[in-house]
Amino acid sequence: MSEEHRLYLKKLKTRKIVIRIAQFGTLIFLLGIWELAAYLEWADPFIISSPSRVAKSIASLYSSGELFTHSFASLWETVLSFTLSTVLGTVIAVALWWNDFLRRVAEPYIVVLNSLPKIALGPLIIIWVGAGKAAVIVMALMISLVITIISALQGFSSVDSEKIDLLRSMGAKKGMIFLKLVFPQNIPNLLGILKINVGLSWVGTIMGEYLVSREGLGYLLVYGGQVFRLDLVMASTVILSVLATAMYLLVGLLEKLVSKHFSDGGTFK
Amino acid sequence: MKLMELIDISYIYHSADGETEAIKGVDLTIEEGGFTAIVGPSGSGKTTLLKIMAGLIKPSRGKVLLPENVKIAYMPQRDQLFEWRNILKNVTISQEIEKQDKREAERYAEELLDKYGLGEFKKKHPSALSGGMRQRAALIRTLLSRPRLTLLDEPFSALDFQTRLYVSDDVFRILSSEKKSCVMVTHDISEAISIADRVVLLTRRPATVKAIYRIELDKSAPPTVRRELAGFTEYFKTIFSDMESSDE
Repeated sequence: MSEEHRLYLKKLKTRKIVIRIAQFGTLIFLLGIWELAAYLEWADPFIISSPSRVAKSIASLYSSGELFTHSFASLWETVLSFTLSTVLGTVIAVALWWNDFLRRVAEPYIVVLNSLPKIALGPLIIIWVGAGKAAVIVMALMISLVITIISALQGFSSVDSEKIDLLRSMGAKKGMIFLKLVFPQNIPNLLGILKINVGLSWVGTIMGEYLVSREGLGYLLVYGGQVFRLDLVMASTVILSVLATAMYLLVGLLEKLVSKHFSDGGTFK
Repeated sequence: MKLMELIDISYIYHSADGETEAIKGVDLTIEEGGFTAIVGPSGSGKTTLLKIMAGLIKPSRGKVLLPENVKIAYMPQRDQLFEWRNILKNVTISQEIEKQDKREAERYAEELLDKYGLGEFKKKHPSALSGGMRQRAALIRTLLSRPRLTLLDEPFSALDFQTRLYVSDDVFRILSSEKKSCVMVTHDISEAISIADRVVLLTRRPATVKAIYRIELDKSAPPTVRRELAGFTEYFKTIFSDMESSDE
């Protein structure tokens, strides 16, 4: 290794450390200002809460067991709707890719469903599936399903027609073309959709819980707001950020594993 | 032996804006062992004609006669290697689709890859290969199904001029050592004369066969050598002026 390269690597490492310090520094600084503002009553601690109050609130949620009840409720709803919308959306996109007639017929419905603010469907959903967990899941599903169909279909349709001709000249039928070309080429696109769906499923779950539920982080947020317990609202927000980020990172990890499989020369059978 | 016979082939493109007659009454016979180049002005329906020969599109009128068990392989304009497959998996895809014995396909693939200097790249992905090597891999993929007739659509058009010259030598060498009959479509007259033993000139749209030329240059000489041979320029001048006169 040349001296120059060694210096370059060292610089790179130093920069990384500086960035980490700055990141944590910002966090500690903001928390400190917040705590101080509450302690010195620059603003009413009842309204702005404070880090120590939030921590206490989380601790009491933990000791009462509510932390897990609410987190698991939301997490379960999110994971379920995320899985459903990804699988269902991809399957519908495959069907529409397969059959052009079906696709043309479905087009205006998809456009309308995509433009519609899904929360407007709230009352209908509640009446149809009842004011429970099912309503939350359906709401979350509605939010991410249509966009999954649109993005997946767009990816499927963007495959080079010359590549399709090549496989056709080898005698491949539509199913084979999907299996050997369209699907594997779209794996990065589908992984991108997963990442978007993580966020959307959380939006849907929290929104659904605002509307109906008796448990979950969305419920906790609304409840905290109604009884003016800002500590509880803040605590729920913190827990929510942690869970959503964890899920996002998990999907990121999956993406990494799959692209590693790609570069190792793996094929998708 | 006749490998393929085109009888009165016509093709009309239909769209909402109207119809375009791309090919009109083309008769053409492809003999075993020959190298036919089809040239014509751009947009003259050459690629359409090749796709009809490959069975990818049906002619609006006319017949493609094909003796039984003549296997045809088609090589598109760009190499179209799949980025997520390594070279070995890329060249054996046709056997994979036909669900043939994988071991036998890979054995033949490795033989050809080794023979044509891609042996050490078989586990590499296409992005690791140069343009010329990618084209060679695409050709090996085409040959792996042991076709009697190979159809090449502008195989050098995506390459820069220098690479094009050496890749055409490459392609010529591989095709002649594997003793393949070939039909190649190109808009480049000199490329056609340098590699083929027969040149079919098409007119502007709707394409008809304007003339067929026998190229009596040394058949064993690779394209770059042929370009230097006496007679090459004469062929070029004749075909070029015929092509120009078809514009009027």
